[in-house]
Amino acid sequence: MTFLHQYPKAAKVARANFIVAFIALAIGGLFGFIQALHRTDVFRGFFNSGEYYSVLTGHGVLLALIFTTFFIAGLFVWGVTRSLDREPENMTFTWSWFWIMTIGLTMTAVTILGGLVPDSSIRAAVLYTFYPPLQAHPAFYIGLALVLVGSWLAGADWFWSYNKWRKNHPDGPIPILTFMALFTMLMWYVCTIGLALEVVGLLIPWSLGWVTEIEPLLPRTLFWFFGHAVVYFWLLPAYYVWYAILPKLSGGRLFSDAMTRIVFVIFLLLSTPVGYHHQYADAGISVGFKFYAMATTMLLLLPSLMTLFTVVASMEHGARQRGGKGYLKWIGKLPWDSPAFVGCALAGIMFAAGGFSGMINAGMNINLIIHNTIWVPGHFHLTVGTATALTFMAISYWLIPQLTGRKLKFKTLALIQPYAWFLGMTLMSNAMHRAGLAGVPRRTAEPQYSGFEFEPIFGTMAEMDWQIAIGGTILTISLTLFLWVITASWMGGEKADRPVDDYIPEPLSGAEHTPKILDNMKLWFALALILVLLAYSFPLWEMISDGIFEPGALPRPS
Amino acid sequence: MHIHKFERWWIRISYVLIAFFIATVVYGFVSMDLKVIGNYQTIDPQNLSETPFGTPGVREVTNGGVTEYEVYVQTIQFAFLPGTSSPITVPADTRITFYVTSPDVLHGFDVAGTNLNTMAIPGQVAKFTTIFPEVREYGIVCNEYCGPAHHIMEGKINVVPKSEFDKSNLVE
Amino acid sequence: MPDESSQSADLAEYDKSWEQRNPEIVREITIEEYKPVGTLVIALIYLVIIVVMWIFMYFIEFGGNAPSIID
Repeated sequence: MTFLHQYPKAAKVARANFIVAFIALAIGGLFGFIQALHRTDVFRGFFNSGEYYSVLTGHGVLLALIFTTFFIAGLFVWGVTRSLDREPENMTFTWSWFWIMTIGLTMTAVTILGGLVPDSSIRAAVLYTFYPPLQAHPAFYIGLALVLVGSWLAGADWFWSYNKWRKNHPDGPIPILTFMALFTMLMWYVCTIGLALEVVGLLIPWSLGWVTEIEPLLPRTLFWFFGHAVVYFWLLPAYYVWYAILPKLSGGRLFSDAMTRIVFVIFLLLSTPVGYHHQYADAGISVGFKFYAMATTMLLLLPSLMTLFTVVASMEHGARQRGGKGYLKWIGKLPWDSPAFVGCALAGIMFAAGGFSGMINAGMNINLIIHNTIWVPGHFHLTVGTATALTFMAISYWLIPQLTGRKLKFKTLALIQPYAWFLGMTLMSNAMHRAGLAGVPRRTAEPQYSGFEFEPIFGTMAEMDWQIAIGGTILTISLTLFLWVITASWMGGEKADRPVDDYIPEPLSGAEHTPKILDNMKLWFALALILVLLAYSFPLWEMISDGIFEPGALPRPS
Repeated sequence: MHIHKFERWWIRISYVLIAFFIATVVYGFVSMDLKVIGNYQTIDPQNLSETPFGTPGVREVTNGGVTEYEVYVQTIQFAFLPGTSSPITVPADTRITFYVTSPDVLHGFDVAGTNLNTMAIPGQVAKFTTIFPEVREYGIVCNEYCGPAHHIMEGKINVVPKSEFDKSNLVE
Repeated sequence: MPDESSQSADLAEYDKSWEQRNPEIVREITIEEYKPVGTLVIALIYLVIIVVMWIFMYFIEFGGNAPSIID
C-alpha cells in the first residue's frame, strides 16, 4: 500500500498539480537556456534583444511563480492528506481551486507568449515584478489574481481538513507535516495582502483604463510587501522536505520536533515586515524604515541558521546509524547513490552559499554595491533556483512513485541529474556573483556598452560569460534528464504495491516534548499581523495621503 | 523541550553573528560615511519642465562658503539627461549632490564599479551626495528594466581635476 | 502516530523499530547517546567562512569602492 492506494482522490489532485508544475518547469527552463546564451553573446539567433524581455518574463513567471506554486500545492496535498489520514473534504472544492489556478496561469502565460508574436497587441514584457508604469495586457494581471485566489482556496482546503481532524483528535500536537504546511500558508495569507491590494486594487483597474495615472512607488512597495515573503513561500516547502523526509533518506530521524516548529513560527512572524530591504536604493522611503527592515531581515538569519543545525544533525544521525564515525568522516557514509538524498543534500550545500550572498544583500549600505546587478540573480539561483528547485526535483523521485504506484526508471540518470545541476549552478552562479561585483546589471539582453568597459575584480568578463553559458547548458541538460526520468517512470515504470519505502520514522525528540504554545495558530497569526502593521502602516500612509494615484505617471507600453 | 547543548551554543553564536552584522552596517554608516538614500521629496513626473529638472545639468552652489555642485539628471527611455549624449563633467575632490528622477518609467542610475547606485522612480526625487576621489571616466548603467531598448541605456561621468574644471558648461 | 504506523512496511514486524527493520542501519542511536559533534564542526567552519568573507566584502570590497553615497 502506498499513497495512491490509500488516498486515490488526493493522489489524483497532487498528480494534476505536479503535471502543471513540470510543464511550467520545462518551458521556463528552456527560456533560461535561451537567456544564458543570449546575454553572454554566445548565440543570439533565437529571438531579438527586444523579445528577450518577453522570454525573461516567461522564465521568471513560469519558474518562480507557477512551477513553485503548483509544486507546493501538490506537496502539501500529499503531506496534509497523509499526516491527517483523510482525503480532502470535498473534491469539487479541491478541484475548483486547482482549475482556478490553472485558468489564471493560462491567461498570464498567453499574454507573455504574445510578446513573441510579431505585431501582437497582447503583450506582457513587464518581468515578474511588473513595476508600473510599464503596462501589461489586463489579462496578465487578472490571471495572476486568479492564481492568487486559487492558492488561498487551496490553503483553506487544508485548514478545512485540519479542523475536521481536530474534532476527532481534540488533544495532541498538530502532525508535523500538517503543521509546516499550515504555517507556510498562514505566512502566505499575511504577505499576499500586499499583492492583492496591488494587483486587484491598483493594477487591474489601471490596465483596464478605468484610471489613467498611477503612482509608481506605491505598487512597488506593495509588491515588496509580498515579494520577500514569497521567497520564504518557495523556501519553506524545501525546508518541509529537509525536516520531514531528508532525515529518513539519510538513514536517521529528525533531530527535534520542537526546533522545527519554532523555525516555522519565526518565519511566519518575520517574513513580511522585511520587504523594504529590496528598496534600500529607493527614494521615498526613510532611512529609519530601511534600518527596521534590515534588523528584521538579519533576525531572519536565525531560523535558517537553526535549520542548518537541525537538518545537518538529522543527517549526521543517519550517517552514524549507518556506521559513520569521526568528526567529518561520517559524511562519506551518507547515501550518495540515492537520487532523492543527493538532490536534497546538494541543494542544502548550495543554500549555505546562497545564504552568504543573501547576507550581503540584506546589509543596508553594502547592498548598494550589488543592487540590481547580476549578483542578485546569481544569489537567487542558489536559493530558489537550487535550494528550492533541486529539492523539488529530488523529492519527486521519491514522491512520484507514491502518487503513481510505479517504480522509478533510469535510476542512473536520476542520480546523475542532481550532480549535474550542482556543477552547472556552481559555474553559472559564481560567475554571476563576480560579474555583479563589477557592476554588470541584471535583466539586460546585451550587457556590453559602447562607452566603457566593466572592470572585474576577480577574473575576466569573457571567462565569466563562458561560465554562465556552459553552466546554463549543463543545467538545461540536467533539467532534460529530470523530465525524461519522471515522464518515463510515470508512463512506463513497473507497477508495485510499494514502489518506494515511504515510511517516515518519528523524530528523535518527538512532539511529546514540544511546548503546546507553538501550535497556537491564532496567537502567531495575530502577532505576525501586528509586526506587519508596525513596518508598513506609516510609510504606506505617507504614500497614499497625497492621493492613491498621486503623484501620477502615465502608462507606457511594455 | 529537549534542545541539545551544542544546539544551544549554536543559537547563541547565531545571535552574536546577527548583532555583528548589524553593528558593522551601523559602523559603516556612521563612521565610514557609507550612507543610503532616504526620503527627500515627491515631484509631479508629468511637469518636470517647471522644476530644475527642466534644465538638467551641473549647477554651482555655495554651501557655507565652500563651492559645491548639484547635478540634476532625468532618466528617460532610453537615455540619461545629461550623461548619454554628453558626459556629466564634474571636478574631483568636491562635494557633488545628485538629484535623479524619471518622467516615464522606473530606471536605475548605477555608476558602474562604484557604490553610487540608486533607483529613479517617477514621482520621487532621489538625492545623494558624493565626492569623486579620482580623475577618470565612469560609465553609468540603467540597471532597472525600462522597456525594449533597456540594454542601450548608458551614460558617462567625466571627473576632471579641480583646477581644470570648465565652468562655461554649467547651467543657469 | 496513526499516520506513521499505517505506513509501516510489514505489520508482522511492527514491534520492531524502523532501525531494526532497515538492513542498511548498523546500529540504532538513541537521543540520550547521540552527540551531533560533526554538525557542530560543520556549523563552526561555516561560521568562520562567512565572518571572514563578510569582513572582506564589507571593509575592503565595499569600503574601498569609493565614490560612495556620503550624505
